[in-house]
Amino acid sequence: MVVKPPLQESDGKPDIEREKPVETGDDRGFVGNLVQLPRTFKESVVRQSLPDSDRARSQAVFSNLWLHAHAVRTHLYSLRPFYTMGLGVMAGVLVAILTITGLLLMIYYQPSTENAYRSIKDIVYVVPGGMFLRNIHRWAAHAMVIVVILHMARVAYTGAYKKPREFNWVIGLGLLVLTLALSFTGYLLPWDQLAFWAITVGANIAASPREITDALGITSQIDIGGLQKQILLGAEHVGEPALVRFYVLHCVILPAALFALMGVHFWRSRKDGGLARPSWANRIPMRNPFAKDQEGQRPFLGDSTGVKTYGLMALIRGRTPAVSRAPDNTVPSWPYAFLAEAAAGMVITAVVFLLSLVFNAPLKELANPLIPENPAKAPWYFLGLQEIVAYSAFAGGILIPTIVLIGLGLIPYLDREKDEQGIWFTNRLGGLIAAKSFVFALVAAAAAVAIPVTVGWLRTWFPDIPQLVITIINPGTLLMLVYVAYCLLVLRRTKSTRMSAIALFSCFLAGFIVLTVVGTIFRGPNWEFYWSSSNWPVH
Amino acid sequence: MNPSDEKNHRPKPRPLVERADAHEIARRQAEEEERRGRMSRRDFVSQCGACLAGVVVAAVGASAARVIKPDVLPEPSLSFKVGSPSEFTSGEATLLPDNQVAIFRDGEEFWSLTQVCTHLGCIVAVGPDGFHCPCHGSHFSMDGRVLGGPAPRPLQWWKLSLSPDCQLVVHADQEVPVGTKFKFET
Ligand code: HEM
Ligand code: FES
Repeated sequence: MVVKPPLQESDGKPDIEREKPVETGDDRGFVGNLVQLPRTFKESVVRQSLPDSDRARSQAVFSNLWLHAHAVRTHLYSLRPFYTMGLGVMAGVLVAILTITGLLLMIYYQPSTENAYRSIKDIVYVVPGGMFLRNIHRWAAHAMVIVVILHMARVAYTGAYKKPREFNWVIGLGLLVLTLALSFTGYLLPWDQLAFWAITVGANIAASPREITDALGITSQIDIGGLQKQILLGAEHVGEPALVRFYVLHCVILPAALFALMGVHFWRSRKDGGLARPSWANRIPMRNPFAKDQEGQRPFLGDSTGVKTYGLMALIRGRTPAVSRAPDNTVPSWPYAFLAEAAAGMVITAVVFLLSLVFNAPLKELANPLIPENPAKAPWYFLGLQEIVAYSAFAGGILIPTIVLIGLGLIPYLDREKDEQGIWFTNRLGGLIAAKSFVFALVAAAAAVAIPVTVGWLRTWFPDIPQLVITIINPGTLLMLVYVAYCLLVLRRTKSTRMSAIALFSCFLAGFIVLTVVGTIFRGPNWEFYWSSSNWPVH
Repeated sequence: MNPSDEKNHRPKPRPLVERADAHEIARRQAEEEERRGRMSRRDFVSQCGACLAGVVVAAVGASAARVIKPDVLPEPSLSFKVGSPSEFTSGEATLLPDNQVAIFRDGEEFWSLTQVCTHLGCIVAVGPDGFHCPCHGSHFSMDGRVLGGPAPRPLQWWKLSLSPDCQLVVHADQEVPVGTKFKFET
């Protein structure tokens, strides 16, 4: 057997033990220890004092459980305010706000049909600060939907979903679905009229595969729709079991899933080498916007040669430019990235607080299973769906959303062109296509709404038309086909999957906006079209 | 293949001098077995273990998933008495909002329609030209046929019967074909 020679002269102790400074004189006897307690306790919690050099700050980021979600250094490109606009961070901060306010609301809220509505009233009128608390929770939830969609738009338009971030895009879609699911389940909890009827409609959307099974005459054998509805409601109608289920989903299951996915989302964006950026950002030295030299100029980053010199600790395998061969365009995460994040967080917090001071979260009358609200509207971000559900429950509620999600999820796998990442719209053509397809999609969606409103749809002309035909051919499905055709056209004209992906996302965004606006503003009693709610019939 | 043959094929164990550990030896043996086209015992056992774990996880998952669908649904009885047939006016629709049905009478003929929209479950309202749904604008005729809107099928017609104490009973779980009317003496 080969005996390894010791690497160093050994004094019999293992290396680690030898390196540890021997602490002498820290034991000052009982009274002395008591006097020193504040200091010794503090030192036992935070091992370093506040770091005073870049190296010490890096060390602090590196060794702290919470901070080390960040890399020790952040690329300057990621900190450009108009690149990410801090939207992902804002979404994260909103989750924190929602968690804290949600936990406080849970202290008073009672998930029973008997008490739910009353306990909400208590929160609003009896609990100190309760109304404000509920407002924050409500407006933060609304803001979250907007922010997540904008964040997704920024990732799509900057091409940040491209390799190696494809799967993080998919996880992001999962986060979008969870965000919407949390809103949906939360909507039932106040047990007022809006809640009851929105969830009745939603649960029947879950049952809408019956539209197909009925048409095929097989509902009595396989009733997928009925099964989905029963699992969601624990009953045939919205009642006590549904309330308990939604409560558990809203307060435990979905948040847990959200936290888990968020963890993976952040972890992956860290492991992918931070945010996407164009290749020049790794080649050309950037000036440090946070410093000035003697002549008042912004100096280049890194040392005087603008070349990366720092050690292993800040390296992420395979992603950062090679040490001493490429410019070091990074700055320490502490303080620059942290300040940027704090700024984004403070902006969104301020917005939510202001909204909550000015607007009160709505609370209608107690739920009445006998009389629907008229019009019965879901929260605004579902009204786009409600608009297409008003053509066909299955097509609008299940078929189209599923296809849209799959289509969005495929974007990074079908667009594998090696364009520069991290640049808005990639190039001039991309900007043009984004704008053009957005306008096209606006017009197409408006037409899809206008045709049934003005001249009617198949059933107006053929009263006995089978439902299956309407399920397949309706303004919603046709609009989707038109969008797909448009994107294929862009693909043929430009021969670029990236341009086609930009067009697809513009179509998605514009379609969502038009349908949502129509559902929110232009639909009145009996879901009829009104130019303004002041024209609604009085009843 | 005779046993002595097999012995000859097995490579002599290499000396342990090269820091080969137990794992390394096992790996070499497995490679050897594989070369001879046989699954090594080690692979066999670990694959059995993996399968077993898979089965256990699947079974636990399936039984947990089964929990969320109750065997008995907490619904009120779907058959209910609505009063004596003579209480209903002939030629008129009587709405029973609590039970979400409408009762029709024409002389000795009775029939009943659900008031729950077949689209997504809102309660329809009656108007001069039939039933209108407030949620997405479905429009049904007085006998429940779809005249417009997204409703995929007509309003359901329920079975009616007469109880021993001469009350009209609606069976809101037994659908009858559209147009089925029931005759009762009044
Ligand atoms: C709960 C919702 C979400 C949260 C909290 C969240 C959070 C974040 C954060 C903090 C970042 C870092 C960069 C930035 O601030 O822009 C990020 C990056 C990213 N997000 Fe999200 N996100 C959410 C939803 C989504 C959605 C809906 C998508 C797309 C479908 C998505 C796709 C991505 C991708 C691909 C990146 C990497 C971008 C890059 O490296 O440049 N995320 N996310
Ligand atoms: S529920 Fe009646 S039209 Fe949608």
